[in-house]
Amino acid sequence: MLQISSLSFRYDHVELFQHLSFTVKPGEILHLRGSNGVGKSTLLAILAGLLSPSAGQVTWGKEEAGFPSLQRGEFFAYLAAEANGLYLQLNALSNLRFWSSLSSEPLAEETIRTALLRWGLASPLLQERLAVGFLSTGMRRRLALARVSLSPAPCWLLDEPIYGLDTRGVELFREALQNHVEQGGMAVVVSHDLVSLAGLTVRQYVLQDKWR
Amino acid sequence: MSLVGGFIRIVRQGFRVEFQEKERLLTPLFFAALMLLLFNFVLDEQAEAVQVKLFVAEIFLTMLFALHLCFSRIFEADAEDRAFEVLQTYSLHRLAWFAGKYCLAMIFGLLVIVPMILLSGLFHGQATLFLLYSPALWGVVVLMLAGLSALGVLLAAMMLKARGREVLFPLLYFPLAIPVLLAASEAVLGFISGSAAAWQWLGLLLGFDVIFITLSAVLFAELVGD
Repeated sequence: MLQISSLSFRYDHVELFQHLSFTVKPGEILHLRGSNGVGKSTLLAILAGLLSPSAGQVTWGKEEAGFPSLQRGEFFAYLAAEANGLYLQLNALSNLRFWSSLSSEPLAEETIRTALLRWGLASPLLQERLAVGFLSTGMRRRLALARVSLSPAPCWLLDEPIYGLDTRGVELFREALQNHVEQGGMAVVVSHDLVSLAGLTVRQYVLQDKWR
Repeated sequence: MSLVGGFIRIVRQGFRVEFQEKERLLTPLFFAALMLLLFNFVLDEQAEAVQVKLFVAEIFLTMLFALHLCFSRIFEADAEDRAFEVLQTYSLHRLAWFAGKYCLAMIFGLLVIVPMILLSGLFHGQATLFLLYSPALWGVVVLMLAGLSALGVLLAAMMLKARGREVLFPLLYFPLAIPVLLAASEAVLGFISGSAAAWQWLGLLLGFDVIFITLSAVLFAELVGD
C-alpha cells in the first residue's frame, strides 16, 4: 500500500500544495488530475524520491499489506513526463539490460527480448543495431514503458505515459497497466489525455488549483 | 544490490556508453596534442636544464586543461534523456555510483595523460627521455589524477542541473585543482633534483587526495539523495 499523509510542498516561499492525503491500495490505479502547474509532476517526483516534501509523509510497502519491506527504489518505478531515462547512444536491448541489472531481480535475456517484442520493438534493427537516439519519440516512449513494465516494483509512477504513442502503443500501455494491477500492483498516473486510461478501472484524485 | 555489484554495473555501463561516443575521449586527446605542439613550437631549443622544467610545466598545464574537458562531460550521457534522474530513483548504493564514476574518470584520465606525456617526451627528445622511465613521475601523476578525478566527478554531478554549467564548471574546477597541480609539479621537480622537499610536496598531494576523495564521496551521496 502507498500512503500519503498531509503532504505539502513549497518552491521557495510559494506553497504548491498543502496537506494532501490519500492511499493507493494493491490492484488500484490512481488517476491524478488537475490543471497545469498545480503540482502533479512535482507530487510524482516526491513519491519517486527526487524531491523532498516541505511537510508530511510518504509511507509504502507495509508488510501487513502484502508487500515485504522494500526500499523506495524497489517499491516505485518512475517515468517522467518529458524524458524517458534512456541512454541514447545504446540500443534498446542494452538499455533494458542495464536497467534490469539494477533492479532487485535482474531478468533473463529472453524475458527482455519478449518484452521488446510485446512493445512492438521486435526487429533486430530496433533491438540491437540502432542506437535509441535514432528512434522516434513514440518508439522511445514504448521502450521507456517496457523498462517500467519489466521492473519488479509494485507501484508505477507514470507522468503523461502515452506522450508520443500511436494508437497501438496506447493499447499496449493499457494492456500492460491492466496486467500490472491484476497481479496486485498499483499505479499513480498523471495524464491529461483521458484515452490513456479508457476502459480501466481508475480512482480519480484531483489536485486543487490554489491560484486561479 | 551490493556495493560491488552496483559499482561493476556503473563501470560497465560507462564503458559501453563512452565507447559508442568516442569523441568524448578524442576531444581531450586532440586538445592536449595541439597544446603540446604549440608549447614546443614556441619554446624550441632551450638549455637542457630548462628543458626538464619546461617538460614538467607543460605536461601539468596540459593535463589541467585536458582533464577539465574529460571530467566536465563525465555525466553527459546520463543527462541527455535524464537517465541520471531515473538512476536516482533506483536502489543503487550511492557510494557504488560515485566509485563507479570515479573509476571511469581515472581510467579516461589515464587514457588522456599517458599518450600526452609520451608525446611531450618525444618533443623534448634526449633531455627528458629518462623521465619517461621514472616511477616518481608516473606515481605523482597517478596521485594527482586520483585527487582531480574525485573533484571532477563531484563538480560534474553538481553542474547537471545548473544553468550555464559550461561556465560554472571551470570557475569551480580550476581554483580547486591548482593546489593539487602545484603540489604535484613541485614533487616531480623535487624528485628530479633529489631535493628532500619532494617528500613534503608528496605528503601535501596525498593530503589533498584524501580530502577530495572523502568530501566528494560524501557530497555526491548528499547531492543524489539517499
